[in-house]
Amino acid sequence: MSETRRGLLGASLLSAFGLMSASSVVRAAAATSDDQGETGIPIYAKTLAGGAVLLVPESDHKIRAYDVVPRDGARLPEPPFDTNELIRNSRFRLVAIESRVVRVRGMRLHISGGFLLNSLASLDVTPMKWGEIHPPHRHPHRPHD
Amino acid sequence: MKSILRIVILIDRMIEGPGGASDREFVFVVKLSKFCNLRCRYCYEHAELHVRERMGLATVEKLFADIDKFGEYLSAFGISPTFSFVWHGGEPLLVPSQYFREVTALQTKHIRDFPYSNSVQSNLYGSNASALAYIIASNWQLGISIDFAPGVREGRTHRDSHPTVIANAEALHKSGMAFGVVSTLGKHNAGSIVDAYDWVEEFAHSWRILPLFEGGPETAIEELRLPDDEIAEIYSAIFDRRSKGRRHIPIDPIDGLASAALLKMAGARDEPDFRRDVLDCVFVVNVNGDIYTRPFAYDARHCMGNINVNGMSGLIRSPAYLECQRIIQRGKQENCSVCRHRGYCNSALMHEHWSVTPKDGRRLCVHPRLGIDAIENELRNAGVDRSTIGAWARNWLGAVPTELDVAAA
Repeated sequence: MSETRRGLLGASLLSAFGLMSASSVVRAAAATSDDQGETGIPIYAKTLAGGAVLLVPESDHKIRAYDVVPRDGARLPEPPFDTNELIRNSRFRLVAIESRVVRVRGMRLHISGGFLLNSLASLDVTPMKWGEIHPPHRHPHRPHD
Repeated sequence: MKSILRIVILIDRMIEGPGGASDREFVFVVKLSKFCNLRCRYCYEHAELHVRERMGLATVEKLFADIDKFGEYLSAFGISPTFSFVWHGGEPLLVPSQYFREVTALQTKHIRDFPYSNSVQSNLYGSNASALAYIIASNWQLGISIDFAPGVREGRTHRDSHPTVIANAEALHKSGMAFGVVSTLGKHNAGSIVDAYDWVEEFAHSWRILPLFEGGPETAIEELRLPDDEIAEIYSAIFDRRSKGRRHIPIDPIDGLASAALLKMAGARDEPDFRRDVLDCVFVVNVNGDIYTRPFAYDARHCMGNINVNGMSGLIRSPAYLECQRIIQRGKQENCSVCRHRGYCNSALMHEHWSVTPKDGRRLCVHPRLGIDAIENELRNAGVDRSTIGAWARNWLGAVPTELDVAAA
């Protein structure tokens, strides 16, 4: 019963995750069970550009960002798998990302100095928006499209 | 000079960092006319609902004529702005369709470099059919005000509007038009709004629930305003109801509160920079062209200026605008810096007029805090823990597919 209830709640929280900043979602995604400490697990995510990144939480709450580069014709792995394994697997090279914006599922991960930037509020969703309508899908008129 | 320097700093803080431009929506809530066919007891425009004066098209043109320049000004700071025009009243759909046609023509003439969208907030009670047809044909967004309770949203002859509005909205849905619903939450609908989820999920695409706020007739506000703890209980009940629903409907502010509860339970804390979000980007343009930031609408002490005299690219540098930001910042210092949800809540609620409880001249954030607590309790009672939230978030990122994919589909 409890399992079903949790499943229903999870599905009902889709729009709550959609309001979080990318860095907040990654921090939440790194969370494991309470007894596994504060660091959390590495997060593997495919990017809209076709590559993949590995986001590795460190003990000081920072999250280090890497490109996942397959060696010798290997293909990017498909989840689920143990993301810690990716760090040890010689078929993949992890290349530190210095400074870049990476798009994952429509969200922008801002990476600077090798680390994911903290951002509590997602500027992409304009949290201060008041407009009495709050439509999830807009159709902006683009004058020169 | 100091003012200019300060606004440069403010805008600079909106930018996420060296990674690239930040998309940002700037919203203009444009008061076309205060004239309305309803006399809702709590309406903050109550004193002017009989006034037929309409915003002149020359004023509308002044607003549009400066948008590209305003956009360029923002672009210089790395912001990629989009503009949203919310046509508001009174009842905007009492205005003839020709007015909206001319608005469209003026937009096309003046806004050439930046994307924009239009939406209308209507009571859908006896609106002008050709105006409604025009906004549907033009792909404008529509929001409908429905409280799901009788006796408060009445016509000028005290006829209850609720049955007519529901019938009109259902007919609109049947015709294929999508719309969002806005409900004002008070004692009048405290007993019915949770059950209203069933109607919303069947007919609408989103729901915004606004606890009653000051600005309307004081006696009505006093009579209808709910205590903060009851507001939080209702949020929690709607949250629960949605989880058992057939279709997922985004609900503001419940999704924002849930987001804070999830981050708190996951221990995903960020050190908030209350300065980052100080730039308000929602503006109310009154019928005469006076312009305000949303939290300070109609407060003459905080009027930014008049759009007939100055464009937005100038008004955003005005001392009045900067003072509004300072007040918001003080509110955040008083509320957010000592809050148990600090680092999990994004503090945006301090920019919302309906989320603060006025007390002894201060603006206190009470029911949002209680709402976060209530949703956290709901989740904990269902056995949700840190690892569950981690799995949900990984699913959201597409990092690890789980059974949630099936549930969400």
